[in-house]
Amino acid sequence: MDRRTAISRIGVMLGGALSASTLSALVSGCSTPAEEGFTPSFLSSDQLERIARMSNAVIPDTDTPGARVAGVHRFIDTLLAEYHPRPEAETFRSMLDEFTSRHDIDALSDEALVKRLTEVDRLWSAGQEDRVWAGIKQWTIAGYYTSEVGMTQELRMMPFTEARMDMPRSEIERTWA
Amino acid sequence: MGMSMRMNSTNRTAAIHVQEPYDAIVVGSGMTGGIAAKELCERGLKTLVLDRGVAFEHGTSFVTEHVPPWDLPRHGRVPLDQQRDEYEIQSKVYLFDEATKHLFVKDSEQPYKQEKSFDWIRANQVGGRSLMWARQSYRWGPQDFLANLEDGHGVDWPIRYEDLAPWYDYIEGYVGVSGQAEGLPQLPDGNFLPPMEMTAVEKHLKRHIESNFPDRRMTIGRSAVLTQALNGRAACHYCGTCERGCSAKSYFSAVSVSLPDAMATGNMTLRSNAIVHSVIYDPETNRASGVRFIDAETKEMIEVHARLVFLCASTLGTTQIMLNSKSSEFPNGIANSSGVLGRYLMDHHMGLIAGGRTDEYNDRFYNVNRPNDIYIPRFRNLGGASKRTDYVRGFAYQGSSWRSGPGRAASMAGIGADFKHSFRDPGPWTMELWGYGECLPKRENHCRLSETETDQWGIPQLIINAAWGDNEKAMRKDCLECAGEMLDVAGFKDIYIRDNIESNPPGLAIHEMGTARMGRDPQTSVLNGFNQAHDVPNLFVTDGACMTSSAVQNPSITYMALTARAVDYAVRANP
Repeated sequence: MDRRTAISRIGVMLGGALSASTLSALVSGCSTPAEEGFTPSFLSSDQLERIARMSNAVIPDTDTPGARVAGVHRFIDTLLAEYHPRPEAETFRSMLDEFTSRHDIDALSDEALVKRLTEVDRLWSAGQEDRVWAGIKQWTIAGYYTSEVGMTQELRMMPFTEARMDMPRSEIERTWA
Repeated sequence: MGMSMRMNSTNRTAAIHVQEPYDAIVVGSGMTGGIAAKELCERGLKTLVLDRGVAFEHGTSFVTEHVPPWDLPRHGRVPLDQQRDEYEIQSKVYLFDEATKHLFVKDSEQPYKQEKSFDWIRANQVGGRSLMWARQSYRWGPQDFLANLEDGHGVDWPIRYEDLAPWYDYIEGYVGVSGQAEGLPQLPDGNFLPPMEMTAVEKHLKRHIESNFPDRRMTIGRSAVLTQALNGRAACHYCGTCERGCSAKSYFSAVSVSLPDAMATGNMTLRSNAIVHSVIYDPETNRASGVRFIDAETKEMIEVHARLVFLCASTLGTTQIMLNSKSSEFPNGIANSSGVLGRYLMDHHMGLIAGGRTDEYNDRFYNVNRPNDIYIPRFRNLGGASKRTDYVRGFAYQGSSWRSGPGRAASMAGIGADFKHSFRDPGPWTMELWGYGECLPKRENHCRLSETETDQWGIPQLIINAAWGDNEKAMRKDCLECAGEMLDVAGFKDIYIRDNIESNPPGLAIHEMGTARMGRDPQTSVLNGFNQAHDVPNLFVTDGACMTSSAVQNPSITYMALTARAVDYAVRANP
């Protein structure tokens, strides 16, 4: 979100209750979250790094930041730590370790990883069950498009404005997050 | 002083604090309690409003208003263990999420018994469910007040449309309802603010419905959301998450509108955390002399007295209090000489979904999350050719269209830069219709008090026993068929039709009503045509409990109109 948008948003909030974190995000120039200092709650550092590499292969850096910069891997760690019941999360962890060694993820260069995951995705899309890949892909999409990067840089947040429910598509640069 | 202390023999709490008397007590501060409070206070009555929920104030309590997903710890998700263990029923509500869960009670802390599945959705704060309602506001038509008389289900309403029409005018002017006048007798026009707009796809469906089915109409939802400023409240800014609270007061809630207006009179005392236990009956005067409540924080039992008692605690909340108000004169609950208190529980049946896709209008879009839907008013059993032989009453639809967002990526093949960039465009259009049907008043659909189990305040738990009947099921079939044929004539593709009756038991429409019904005969009803208890003249019930039939319209605006009318009567008649 650019500062002008941020400030015009505050203008229409009409005294609405802003959480401290929102307000600070809005006025601090919406900086990219820093990686250092983050300790995963559920995954090991190695597991977190593998998730980060794979989610960034799904949504890479282009003219806008990709999944890693958006913090998707940390979101996935939070889901596993807090959203999913612990037995489900533990099952996913062991399946993830098996997936990692089966595909030799740690040994692959970023380029080779993309190649490997393209094949994994092709098989999954064709109907082959792959719970690890399904989880990574679905959580990456869910996390990226609800992140600040995904909603304000890659896509656009709906403005707070007068409604136009039937308007030309061409007047909107990118779709709503 | 009217402060004589009466100990209830069933009361297990030793300490009873008798407070100063008021002119009126209102139990509940939500949709109807807020209106009752405002109307009583504006007429100069010193009014005590009691609510079992936590304190909640306009503005400062709206802690998640405008908070974006990334500032919510789990981007909106409530942990699955917590949903199951603490919010087993409340988590079924479509808008239950990380930003709203604090607005719902914990089922684990406030249990009730389901002899058959019944989803009892309850708010956790002052202002009640008026904070989270869907804001749809439709008048009942003349046929709705005649339905019971004409087909023999339930008892006749003691009022007709003409009795309520001026009060609809009044309450719509106060609440602020946007909508389009249509001139339909079954869905009378109101005192509307300018309508919201339909999308290109909704306009397309409207054209095809109205040209193919002369008896059917599609209109924009009539919504208690301001499309222009009203009484110091701003027009909607379309942030799209009304239920988190609105600092601009653009949609109507008790928190933002009626309670502040009541407070501004100087005549209201509002007490939160006040769990009303029972209404106190005085056999010498045959009046309700006040209520007993438990302070949820101190557990003290407190008695308060007043000339008038208004129960606005929500349909089942009110009836639970009345059933628990036992005396030698009313051993089965206050004002229950008829024995129908707790009976004829209704809700609208829903979970009827029909949708389709279109490849047209890819050059059209929208710029906001409209807090409103489209509406197709009832067209069955309205006389002439609309008469059905397989069921009585009727159904209506809400519906909406949208272009799919980036979430569709989760189920699509691909990874990488091109994949990512392909979601910068909106996806294809979907149009859905959601059917809602009228529910017949049936004696066997009821609630009663448990004889063995109490809640944490010593109040008997409510047992609920209600189910959909054959009339509702026959209506559902027709409702889905009609939806499918409307989408079909409009050229939608991949049409799907689903009857989700199993996941939509009574209660989940959150239009539960009945159990202390109005009627002409004191032997078969609890309340008269002014929402006044037949048996106890200074006791009024104006929430959904009063309803004699359910119609199909979303009911809040009708409850509010009935409330304003009942207060006007009560203050003039001074029973």
